[in-house]
Amino acid sequence: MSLVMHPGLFLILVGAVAAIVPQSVRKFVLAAGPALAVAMFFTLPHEEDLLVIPFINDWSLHLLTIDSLSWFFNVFFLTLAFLGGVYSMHNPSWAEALASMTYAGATVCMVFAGDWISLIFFWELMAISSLYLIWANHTARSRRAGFRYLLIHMLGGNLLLAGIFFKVIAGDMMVGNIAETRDAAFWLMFLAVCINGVIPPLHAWVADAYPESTITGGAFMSGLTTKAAIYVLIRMFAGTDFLIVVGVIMAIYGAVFAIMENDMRRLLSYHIVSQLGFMVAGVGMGSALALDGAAAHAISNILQKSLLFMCCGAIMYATGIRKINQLGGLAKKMPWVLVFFLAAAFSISGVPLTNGFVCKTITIAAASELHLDWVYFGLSLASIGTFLSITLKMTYFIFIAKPDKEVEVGAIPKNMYWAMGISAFLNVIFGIVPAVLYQYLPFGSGAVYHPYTIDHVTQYIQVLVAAMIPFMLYLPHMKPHSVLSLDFDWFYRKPFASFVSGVSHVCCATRDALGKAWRELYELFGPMSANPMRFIGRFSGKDAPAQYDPEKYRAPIGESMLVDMTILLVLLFFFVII
Amino acid sequence: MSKKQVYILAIVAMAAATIVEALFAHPHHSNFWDVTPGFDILFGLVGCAALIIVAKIIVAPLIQKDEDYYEGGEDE
Repeated sequence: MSLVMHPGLFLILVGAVAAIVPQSVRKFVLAAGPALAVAMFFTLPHEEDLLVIPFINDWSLHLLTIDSLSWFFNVFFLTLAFLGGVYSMHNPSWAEALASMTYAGATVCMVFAGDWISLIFFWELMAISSLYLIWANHTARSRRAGFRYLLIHMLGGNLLLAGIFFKVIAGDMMVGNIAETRDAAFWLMFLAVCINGVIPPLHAWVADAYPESTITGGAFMSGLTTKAAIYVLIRMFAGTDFLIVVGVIMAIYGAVFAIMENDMRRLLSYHIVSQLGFMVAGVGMGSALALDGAAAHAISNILQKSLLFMCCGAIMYATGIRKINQLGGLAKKMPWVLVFFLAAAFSISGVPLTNGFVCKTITIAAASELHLDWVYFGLSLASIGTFLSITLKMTYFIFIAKPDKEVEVGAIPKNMYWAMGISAFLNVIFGIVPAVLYQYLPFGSGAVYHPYTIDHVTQYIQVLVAAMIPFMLYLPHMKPHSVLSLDFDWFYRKPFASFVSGVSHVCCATRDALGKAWRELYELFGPMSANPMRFIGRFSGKDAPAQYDPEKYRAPIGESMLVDMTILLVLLFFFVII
Repeated sequence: MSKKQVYILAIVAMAAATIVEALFAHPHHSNFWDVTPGFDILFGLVGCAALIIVAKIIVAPLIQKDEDYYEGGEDE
């Protein structure tokens, strides 16, 4: 099997081709390339270790390790590459095309990596290629946010690399479950995955960087890095019990921040934290049902979140506005965007007949199954938060409420509608025919879990409809304002930044003080060396001449020769005698 | 649609869901929240109100700052 037949590597190749062809061809490459990658993917077997390449000594790179878990995730990463490709067909930037396809390709390759070396390579490639999707905005804000994104992801990459060093030194080359080990490698890798998996307090980069990405870049970013981290969590940390607590805290934390947020894409980024909380809790529970719940929730979240980012991107493209409080009344002006937005919003809230209902309820059912009642209530509360901040708050304030100032809406490219339309279809199809998805659940609980029971459906209708009432009662409080919510990034943007600038001030001040002292010394001794007689004269009692002339004091060369020869003779004498 | 109509629709939907639950549902578990019809309405009301109060009324005043708190005029 050749390297080009690897769907991830093929996507990277698509990116390279898209970068060199003219704009008129590039748009077709961006749509057809990922479509071809999806087609190639479906020709692959479901369970095999293909593409084993000798690396060093007896070790090999396993580039295409397919099992039920990696297969399941990559179906949707490739689908997202296709949707993102269609969504960015109008974008003239060759560099963005290269970065986004490389990013998607690296994610697919990372998921398929069977050994640690390939894993870390593609993990780093994801970070680097996605960075450009932030910087491509070319604003001061995006430059700064991108730089912080780079720093935090390099920290994560280095932690993972350090953990992998330990594994490789111990002779362990293959990616596997390390939940039981709890050694240094475990903690290093765990911290790295916490960064990409937006586990507080290491999550702040997501709300910092994603809102600054380009409109088309956001569609890719929202679906790839964080969900790939969930794949790694399931693969490596399934059954790590403390993740249950972490997950429930995350789910509620993200929901609370999303309720307060005003920037559309920052709100959605906080929502990533909340949704990932469900999956992290599922990974912590570790039962087959819970792990299937985490995987199913992750893939449905890839579709929901990217569609929400696409809709918000379309609104930003048409209006140039990113803040909810400056928008309003778009339902009549962008009706299709409202339809697509609602498909994603209903799905992410878990409304029956959408993906969300058949996917996120699995994790909650798993908590019930394991009699973890507080997890059940915590995650159900976070579900209410999702419904409140996306379906109710965003829909009402962006599409329905009367704006303070009339919003001017421009046209958006047709390809954006296509991408959103296909994505909206995918967001509801599994809700209608869950069996299509359930047969591929990686841990096999698709056969035992049934989402459409009367108590599930009535329960969700009751919770969601009831949640509308406090929203309407507190409507004046829900109105977003132009404010900034401080988060854990405060620690590195304020005190740590002050610390770094303090240290550099001390260094600069020390350098300046040393330079000044040196100058003073020079100015003190400089005149003395310019006219030594002025100095010597003090002791010899002679007056110094105004101008020092070295020739006047220099002894004839013969005298110094005599001294030299004498010393040499004396030394020679002693050398011979002794 | 006026606010009143939304309230009426919501109440009708909740009542219908509760009646269907009471008559036809077979809960998987025997906890009181699983077997009490309409418990989820209470949970939805209280949970949503709690989230709004915690987020907008308690947490927001503590951590929300002016938009150019970090770097004033970043957009330049």
